[in-house]
Amino acid sequence: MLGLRDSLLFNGGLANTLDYDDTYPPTLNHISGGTVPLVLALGAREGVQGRDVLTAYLIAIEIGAHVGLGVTGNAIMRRGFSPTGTLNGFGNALAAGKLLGLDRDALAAAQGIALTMMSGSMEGIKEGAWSKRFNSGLGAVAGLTAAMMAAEGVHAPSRPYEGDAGLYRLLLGPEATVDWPALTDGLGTRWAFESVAIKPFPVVHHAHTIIDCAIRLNREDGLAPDDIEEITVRVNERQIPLLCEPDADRRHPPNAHAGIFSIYHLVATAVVRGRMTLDECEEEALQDPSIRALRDRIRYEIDPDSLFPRYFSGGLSARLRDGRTIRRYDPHHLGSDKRPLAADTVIEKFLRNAGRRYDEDRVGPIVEAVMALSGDGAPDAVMALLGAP
Amino acid sequence: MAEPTIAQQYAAFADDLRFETIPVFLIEKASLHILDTIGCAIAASRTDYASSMLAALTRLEGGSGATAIGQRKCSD
Repeated sequence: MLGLRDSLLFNGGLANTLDYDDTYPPTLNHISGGTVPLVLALGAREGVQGRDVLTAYLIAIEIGAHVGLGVTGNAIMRRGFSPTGTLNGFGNALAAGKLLGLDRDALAAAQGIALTMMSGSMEGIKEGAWSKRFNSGLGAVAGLTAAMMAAEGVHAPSRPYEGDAGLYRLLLGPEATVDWPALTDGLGTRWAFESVAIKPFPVVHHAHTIIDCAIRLNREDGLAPDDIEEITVRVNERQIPLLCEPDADRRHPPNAHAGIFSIYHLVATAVVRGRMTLDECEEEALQDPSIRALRDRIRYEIDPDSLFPRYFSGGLSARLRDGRTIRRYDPHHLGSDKRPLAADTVIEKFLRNAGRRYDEDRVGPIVEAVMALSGDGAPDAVMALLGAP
Repeated sequence: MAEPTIAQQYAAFADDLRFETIPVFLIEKASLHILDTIGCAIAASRTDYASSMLAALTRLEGGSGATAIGQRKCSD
């Protein structure tokens, strides 16, 4: 058992540990990882209804998305700050404040206090350092703490965004160019949350459309690996160093982690298994003889029509042993705003993820308890199911 | 009256938002994102990372009762 604040640091970190959690693409922050533990745990403690949790969640996501829209693209990440750590605290402060029943002045103050608690560095990300994982937890801790301090009358700066030491100038320097109108543009009428993307596969994002096409060769075309003579995948030129080259490493990845960056291994696995879940990212898949045999019959070509980097366009053509050729291509990746995941797909992902820890008789009730939040459900019913198996 | 600050505008948005006025498709999407986030956390709950973090946080919480300067103890 942990205290409320530490539980957010812990649970928020778990949500991002496998890099399988959702993202707001314009500003690259993992956005729900800390917020979900926050609204559920605080909501349960405050005894609120499920619909209050959903309202608070949407507040956190809308503001967490909007605060990043003041600066271009990945400026924050280029400076070395984690967008997840630095941007999410403000929306979380408002979500926590809403659950605590704060008035407008206190809700404004909570954001001012959250400014001083924001943190998160990108250092160590290439080393695989674990500290990156709890950035979303830090945003939740900052939000909760700030809201509680505001509730108890802690005085706060009034201009956490516009000020000389406000969010943007603090992160990007005094000369930072900020698109001020973008920070509030459309707030309450156009929902940034619509663009927040659930990740369908636990592997490098660049390969998602190609993997989706490969899965459909199995599921929709009913192909077995032996039906296939050769597969040619289509990639953007700039994706080649990430997915295809150097050939020796990519074609014969030395370990499971390297496997998730090998387009040859990923496509072969997707065709053979007809899915791409955490199970497919284990060492066992790397040793599967039918996957190993198929990956040697895969090559790539450059796709001149790719919409990369805005979308991870991709596709493939499979030349079959019966003489046919099957082509599949999609300009937009699954999970993007153009191709949102179907509810069934998200639930299937959940069942597989939760099934790694819990028995079936626990997993189903969790789905029901979460889906009941919008009806007559309550957050304590969800949290009560999430302890030890 | 002075132009409201951004923090005031965000506060007003949060204060005004009512469950009943949120479009139904967004409520459904929000429920799925909550479910997805929980699933990602469950899947990571047996990692070495989880063990180390839980151990660290548990050690920090153990033996509470440190002095807050000038204050009575909570149990007083």
